[in-house]
Amino acid sequence: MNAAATQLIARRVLLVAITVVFLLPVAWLISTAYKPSSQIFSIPPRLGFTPTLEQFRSVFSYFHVWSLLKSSLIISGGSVILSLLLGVPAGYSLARSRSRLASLCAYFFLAIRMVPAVAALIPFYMVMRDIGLLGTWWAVIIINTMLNCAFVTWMMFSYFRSLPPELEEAAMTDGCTQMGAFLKVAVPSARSGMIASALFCIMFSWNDFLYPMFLTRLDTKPLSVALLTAYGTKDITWGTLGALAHFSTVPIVLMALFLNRYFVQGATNGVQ
Amino acid sequence: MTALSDACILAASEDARIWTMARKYTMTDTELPVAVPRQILRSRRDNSFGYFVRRRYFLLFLALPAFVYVMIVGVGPLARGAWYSLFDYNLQRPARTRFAGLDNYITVFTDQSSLLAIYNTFLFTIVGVTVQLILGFGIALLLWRDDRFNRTCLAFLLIPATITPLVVGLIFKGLLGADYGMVGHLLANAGIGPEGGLLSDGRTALWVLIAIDCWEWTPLMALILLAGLKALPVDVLEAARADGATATQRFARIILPLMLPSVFLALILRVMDAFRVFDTVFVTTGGGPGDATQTLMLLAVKEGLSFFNIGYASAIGNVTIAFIAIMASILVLAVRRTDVRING
Amino acid sequence: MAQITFHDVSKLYEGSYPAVHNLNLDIRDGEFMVLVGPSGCGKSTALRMVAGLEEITSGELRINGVRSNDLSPRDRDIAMVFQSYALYPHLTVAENIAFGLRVRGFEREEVTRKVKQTAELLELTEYLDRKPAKLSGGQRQRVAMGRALVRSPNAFLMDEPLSNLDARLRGQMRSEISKLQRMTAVTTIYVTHDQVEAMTMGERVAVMNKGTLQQLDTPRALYDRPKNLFVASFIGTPPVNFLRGVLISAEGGPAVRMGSFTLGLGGRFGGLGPRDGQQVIAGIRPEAFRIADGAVPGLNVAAAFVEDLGATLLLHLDSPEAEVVPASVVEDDVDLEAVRPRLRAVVDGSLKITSGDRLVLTVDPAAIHLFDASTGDAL
Repeated sequence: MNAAATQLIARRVLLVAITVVFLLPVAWLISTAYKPSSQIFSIPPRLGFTPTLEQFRSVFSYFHVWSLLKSSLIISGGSVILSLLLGVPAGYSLARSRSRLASLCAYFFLAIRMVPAVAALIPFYMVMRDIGLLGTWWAVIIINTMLNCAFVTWMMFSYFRSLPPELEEAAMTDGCTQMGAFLKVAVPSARSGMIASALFCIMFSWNDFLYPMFLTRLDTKPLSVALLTAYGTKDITWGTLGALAHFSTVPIVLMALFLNRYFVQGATNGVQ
Repeated sequence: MTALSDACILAASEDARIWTMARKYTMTDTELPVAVPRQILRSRRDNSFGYFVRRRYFLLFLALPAFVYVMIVGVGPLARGAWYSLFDYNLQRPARTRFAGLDNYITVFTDQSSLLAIYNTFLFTIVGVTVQLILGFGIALLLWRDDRFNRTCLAFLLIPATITPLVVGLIFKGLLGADYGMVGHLLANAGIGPEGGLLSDGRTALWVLIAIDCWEWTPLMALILLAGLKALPVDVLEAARADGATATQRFARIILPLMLPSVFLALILRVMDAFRVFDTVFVTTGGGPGDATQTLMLLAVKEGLSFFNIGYASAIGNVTIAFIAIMASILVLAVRRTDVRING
Repeated sequence: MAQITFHDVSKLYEGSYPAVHNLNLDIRDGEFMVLVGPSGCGKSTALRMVAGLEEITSGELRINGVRSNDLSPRDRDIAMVFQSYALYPHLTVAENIAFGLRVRGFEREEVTRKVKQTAELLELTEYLDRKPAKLSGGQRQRVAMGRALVRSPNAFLMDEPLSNLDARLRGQMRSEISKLQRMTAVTTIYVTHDQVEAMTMGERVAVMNKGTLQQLDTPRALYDRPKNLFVASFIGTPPVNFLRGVLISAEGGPAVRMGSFTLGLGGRFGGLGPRDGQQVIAGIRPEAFRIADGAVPGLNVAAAFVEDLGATLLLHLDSPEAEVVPASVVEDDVDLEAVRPRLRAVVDGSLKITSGDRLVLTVDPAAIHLFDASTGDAL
């Protein structure tokens, strides 16, 4: 076996080891959902266990799981759709505009991301209270959309800048109106950028708990908040939490795995 | 807005083209061919509906909704928050609001727990991001070749980054508890670390939090650096190889300098996020024990949403923004400088 | 059908150099006009101004006599072939070609019919269902042409459409494009940096440099009567030789003296009056040189390097007596040549000349171009 092959194998083994180490905590969490409560924190801790679904049963008895899921879905979905509607045209416009102001604007949208969540939370909370939207999904969707559409604008700005404008120019000399060229040529070409943006928006909205914690009520609570408030309640055990965490974690993980191409693209956006 | 609506009207009338010939603007004396389209002509000076003007309005129209939305929903509350920070304003005693000028900000920089929070946040950010950078670079180098195996590995490695930070906190809380956590119990039995578990002692808790952050975000760092590696010009690397450089030499003299822009970019992103850490810390230690792991964000939330000191909390938030802005600017400048140095 | 006129057209970028400066150009209906020049000379910008993709800062563009500065590309009814082809990646070849027709609302059967026609013309019929990613460079180029042809527009605008093809394909497509244009008789503006393309395809050629029009003429006239140093050096391969000289009056009439070589000019410049002592630069094309038999005095040169091209020999010559002006000095800014420039001459391939030989060259006075040494303009 030559040197190159040994190197390759060594590298791969090392990678697998690293991956396993990184996944162990996740594996632990997933496994707690299938262990009977007595075996989760046995003293001393053991690796083996008898699989059971009792944790899932108790999750359903303690929580309105479907309601929580529904809330999470509505919040994430609503925010993603609005953000794309706002952000994609904005990103396109900034990318195609030839003025220096456009670049500055793009950086402005990026800078919004720098803002710590809590800084806007309190004033926003009070505004929502005044309008009467406090406790509805809309409150969370509105604030999430703000952050997400800034992100989408920045991402699509980067993305459209890398697409040659010739395609749209060809469309316009072929007879498209400006809006026509945008919708028929630019947007279809930007599909992968949009999917990547959408993925990140969903991830953010689904995982966020600070805003929903203060802006929703009992019936509009999403999964993330339920997880937090459940922890520390005396009736809720780790097993139940693990089962609940399934609903919170698994959809996103699966999405990231299957749409990995887009996740990668979105995360490395801007690195030439 | 009339120019905008006029532009819309004209765009709509494009299909109802009625072109009129205006002789005085033609200076050729050739016969005009039979089926020449006729055009609505404005006066020479007035091209307010000309195509290029329309295009500018069109682009503005596309960008405006997002901009307005962000201004109203984002900048508005932020500005309001900044305004509050100038007041001694407590939601529970609204009647006792009074203008305090910069008092809140002075408190941020003089109060014991606030200073500790600043210290903790900086320590957390700098140490954490540095470790993530080094480890991430190593992983990126391992993943450099683009094949199926590596891509799958990367996909799995990114899982920690996709998990709700809240859940991440819960996982480690469960693992590290000395009483029944798998890891915690082992450590306690072996006599390593404090008796109550690593999270229970003020001195070790912050380091554990840093480690958790590294667990969560190193793969993402690796991803960004990997993209940078893949963007390196292949011919330059091959030339170095042909010139006889060893792997270490290639790394130090070629790869690292050329990677500096990517490194700084990754740093910017991670520093911005690490400085604002909240979810994981909130769930694992809640800032404790005592104030030991209090970060700026935690302090702000505690002050604002537990004690209702809106003014003070806003001030903390603004100070955080200022710190982030300064760090980001330094890093952006560094990116520009290295970019110029590399690419001329 | 379109007659296109540039009237004092300029384009300035914010606070910097003009990309196009006071361009006056008249393109006749049905003509094949080539815009040629080095990179950055403004030819692509001028083309895009006709298309409506670049804003005109001052001056007037007229299409069929009507001021068109502010018309959208859509309203100008022109078809453009881009250097990168700009094919819609998500559409098939057939859909790409049909795009312009569909957008303008043509009936489905008519669209299909026209697409088929155009595809047959360009030999694309078997690729109609493929997407651009699955085509070769030459095929993509033909799809781009097809997209323009199918529409029967007022004018064709082509922006270096052949520069991404390999040399063989390029030669083939050159004749295809010329043929198609003659067939359709549509006004065509063709932009290229390759002077060979310009000379072989254009009815009239506009040579541009640094945003200004240098000369507008037929290819033959550009070759025979270049108006200034730039045009003389740009047109023709191998490039023209420039020698520094001075006008004198000799017994036979006016003559030009280059170093120790004096060439009588015969009656050619008689009408310009006595210009004794005027500093000139003489332009002599490599193919204009003749090897002199010892009897007639000529330019003494030494062969530094001989390239055998088969039918001809390309000689690189050192001329110790006459001062050779490098063409790059003519284009200001960059002074490229630190080394003493050489003369180039093209002679019959059967001559036995090797490196180191001393030769005497002569030139037919009718084939010499004279330029004022300070302004660079032709005399």
